[in-house]
Amino acid sequence: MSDDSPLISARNLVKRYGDATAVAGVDLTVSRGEAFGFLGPNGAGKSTTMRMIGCVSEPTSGELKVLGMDTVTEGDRIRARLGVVPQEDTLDTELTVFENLVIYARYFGIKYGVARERARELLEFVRLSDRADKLVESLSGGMKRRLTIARALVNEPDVIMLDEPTTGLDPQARHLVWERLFQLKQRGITIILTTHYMDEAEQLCDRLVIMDGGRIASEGSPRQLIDRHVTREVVELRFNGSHTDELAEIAGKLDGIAGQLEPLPDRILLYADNAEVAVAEVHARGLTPSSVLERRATLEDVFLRLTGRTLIE
Amino acid sequence: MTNAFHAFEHWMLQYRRVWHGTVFSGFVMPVLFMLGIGLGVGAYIDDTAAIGGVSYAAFIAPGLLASTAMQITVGEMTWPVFGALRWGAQYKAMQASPLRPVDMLNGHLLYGLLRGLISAVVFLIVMAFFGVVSSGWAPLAVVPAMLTAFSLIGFMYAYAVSIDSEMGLSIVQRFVIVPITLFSGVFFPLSQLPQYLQPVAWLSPLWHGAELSRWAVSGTATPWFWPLHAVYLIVLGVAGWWLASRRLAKRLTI
Ligand SMILES: Nc1ncnc2c1ncn2[C@@H]1O[C@H](COP(=O)(O)OP(=O)(O)OP(=O)(O)O)[C@@H](O)[C@H]1O
Ligand SMILES: [Mg+2]
Repeated sequence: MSDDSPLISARNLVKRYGDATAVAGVDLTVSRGEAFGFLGPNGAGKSTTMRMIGCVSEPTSGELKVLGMDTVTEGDRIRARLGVVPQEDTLDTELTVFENLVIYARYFGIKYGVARERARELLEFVRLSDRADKLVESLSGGMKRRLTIARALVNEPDVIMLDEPTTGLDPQARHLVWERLFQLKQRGITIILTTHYMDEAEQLCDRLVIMDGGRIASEGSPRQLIDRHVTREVVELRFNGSHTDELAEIAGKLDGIAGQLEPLPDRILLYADNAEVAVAEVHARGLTPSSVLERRATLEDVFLRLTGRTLIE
Repeated sequence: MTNAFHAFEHWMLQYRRVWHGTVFSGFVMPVLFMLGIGLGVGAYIDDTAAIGGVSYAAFIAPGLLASTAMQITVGEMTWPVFGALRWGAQYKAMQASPLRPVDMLNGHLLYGLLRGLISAVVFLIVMAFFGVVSSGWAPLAVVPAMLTAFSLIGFMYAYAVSIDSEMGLSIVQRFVIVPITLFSGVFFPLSQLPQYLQPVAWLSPLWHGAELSRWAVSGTATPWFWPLHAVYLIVLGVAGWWLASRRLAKRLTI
């Protein structure tokens, strides 16, 4: 395949489980060298899409090509060039850290000598060298995640696919993972990841799709998505423990102050091009919020605008 | 086939941790059989005409050899296969690699057969120790023992990947493997069974394996022309393999 043909292309991709539709017609294209993300809440269909791209699950309908090959008929050839970090770790807990890497390399037909050398390098890369001979059982969650990432790199893949690489990790462990992914990105490896953390999407992704209910709600770079769907700034207003109904009433009085208004159960979001001006207008209307927070708009806001829900319930 | 070997290596890596234990019990079991049943029960048997004029220990040993290879191999395809698919991550990890379901199947079967082979060889050594090996052809008994193991391995595998509850595994052990072991001419010749039951016993792969094994160890002629016994076991094994490959592919395609 030529270098500018898409690495992944999906047309009207659908996956059904019985009556339930997990993925309901997804179109997407990922180019070589891109860092591409799926951002969406639980049950959005992120993992299902990833598993179809990874050739471990067959689409119910639609067309899916990875590295120019058909995922159903050429799955083994595609998988040979992918590195996969599934949502749930699939490490062999009865083997050591080092053995996990070497045996996984063997599945790809990599010679023992090469496998051992790569295993050592990769353990260095994810800072687990001192654990090489420990059983996987004894690793912390963050260490297991790093080992899984190392394992996904053992075949020197063209693409690394990470399904929620940092879910459940503490901030320190998460930053270490991000740092490593960033390094991979700089080496030109194509990265595809799913997440329900908007900061992760913002940090790592050149381009992303927002997924909800098996569909793509919007697509673009983090900046583009924010520009397209929300204003530059946001004001969060809280009114002394007021909740849903009272807040809805207050929201009525705020009408017209800002471009968009989003009453949440515990606060009201005002989307404004200029937060300061909006806050001044709130006070001018005689309202006295107990707390006012001015901030930049994020992907979280984009998601809220698109679906009426927050990312993490 | 190289792919299957890569999957096989995984099971070998796990086996490396436990092999000495399995070889040890591989020796203990046959010794107990030979002592307890061969010599113990044999002491009560005066009339050996029905078993070809050999000692009882010499009669049962070749059959036990086949039965042991079968049980170890098939046993390796019960909980370990069910667990690899349901509880462990071994299959899930392999699935993300170029290995196809059929490679994963073949790798696991190869491992099961190797376990059976080791137990068969160990059994043969124990037999020699008990002086029941009277022919230079005796080591060839390993072949029918392994054919017996092969005849059932695919079926057991297919079953283990198809069931939703592990309960089925102990049911198979109790109501399939145990009857096969008891009524296949290992402990007593089929001629002791009522006439109408004998054809039923012909279905048992172990009967064919035990007869071939006995032929190798003590030169006792096989009831049927010997290739028929072998072909039966091979055909059964291939059918089981085919079924297993279908079942696993179905299970892994979601
Ligand atoms: N094997 C399966 N059988 C039946 N339904 C499934 C299966 N896998 C996923 N689903 C359903 O498909 C939908 C999408 O699931 P999926 O795992 O792709 O979501 P997700 O975006 O990865 O969510 P999460 O953030 O929780 O991981 C869910 O409603 C889920 O219940
Ligand atoms: Mg998921």
